[in-house]
Amino acid sequence: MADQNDLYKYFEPTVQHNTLALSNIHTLTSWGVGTAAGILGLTGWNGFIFFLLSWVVISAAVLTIKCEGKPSVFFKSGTMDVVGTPVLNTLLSYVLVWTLMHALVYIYD
Amino acid sequence: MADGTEQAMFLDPAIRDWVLFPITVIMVLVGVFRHQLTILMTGEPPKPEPKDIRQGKALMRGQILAQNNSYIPLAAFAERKKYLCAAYEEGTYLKNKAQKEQGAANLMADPKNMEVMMDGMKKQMMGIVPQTLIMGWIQFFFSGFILIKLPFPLGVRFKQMLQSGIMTPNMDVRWVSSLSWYFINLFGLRGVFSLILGGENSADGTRDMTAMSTMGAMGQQPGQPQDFNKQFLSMKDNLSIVYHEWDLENIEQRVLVKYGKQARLFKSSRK
Repeated sequence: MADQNDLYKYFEPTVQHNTLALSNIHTLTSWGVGTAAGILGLTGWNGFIFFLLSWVVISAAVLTIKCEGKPSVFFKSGTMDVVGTPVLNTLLSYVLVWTLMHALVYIYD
Repeated sequence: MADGTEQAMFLDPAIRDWVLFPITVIMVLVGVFRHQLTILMTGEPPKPEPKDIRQGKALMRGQILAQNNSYIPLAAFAERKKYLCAAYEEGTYLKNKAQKEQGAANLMADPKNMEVMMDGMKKQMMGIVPQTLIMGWIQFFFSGFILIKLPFPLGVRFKQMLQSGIMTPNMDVRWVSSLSWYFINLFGLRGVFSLILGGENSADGTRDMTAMSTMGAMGQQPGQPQDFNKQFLSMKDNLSIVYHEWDLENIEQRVLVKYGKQARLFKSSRK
């Protein structure tokens, strides 16, 4: 019964739109944070810790400002969808930008 | 130079201008190109015939009846069950009644299926070919030199893969060749593509890699080989074992008891 309620509780196109908006937020912020990490010259574990810190800050901001504190209204899996699912994708973007900026500032003459 | 100290090197800016940026730009452009091409190449989905739809919907009707049996009284449920079971048994909803005895039709003979399969294969080609081309192009033109230094360390085993053209055994794993820049881009540009092309885009290289590994399951995707006759019969069995319990059973007693106008006189399974 609970599963059936789930089917009728969420309007699929809006959920998809929310997911896309969240993904865009994460892509843009990961580019900003990656640039910062590269320019600051963070390497190794510092870089990943910086990413995790920024992830916490951004997720908190999304949860309070965009989701108005109730993520289960906007996404099917609630907080997990906001905090857990996009991590890998964002991490890959972050690594790309971090490597790029670090190389531009420190490796090239 | 002992291992463990920072190996500081500076690279020629010409490498940056002529290799770093071009690889990224090319990958983005090829992704966009692939997306547009896929849109152009995807034909109209085949129009389903009314009989096909009727088959599917008849099955769904049985399913809905089984799931929602608590909303209708026993008499109504029994009537529907009787009608549907008779229809399933007789095969009123089947597309080809004559085929009822023969089992599943030959998959290849159905012309609609050919189109669907060709479309699927075309999409897969669109995915695999550009990736292979770009990898080959990079290997051909941009091999044999260091491109970039990774800000993070990796295990020693990666050295062989990432420094493919360079014969220096002591150099840090963090100095890598252009192929690894290709891989970093491959994974990292997904976000950029979803920004530029919207959510559902066909420019993702990694999705094709996973699609390649599941290519074996492609033959079952069209869904036509479902033998509806068998499914009808199994749905009929499902319906006959459904335990019907009406939600509004004895509703008068329950309302009275709930509002305290009448003490509960008998045990019922509903609270």
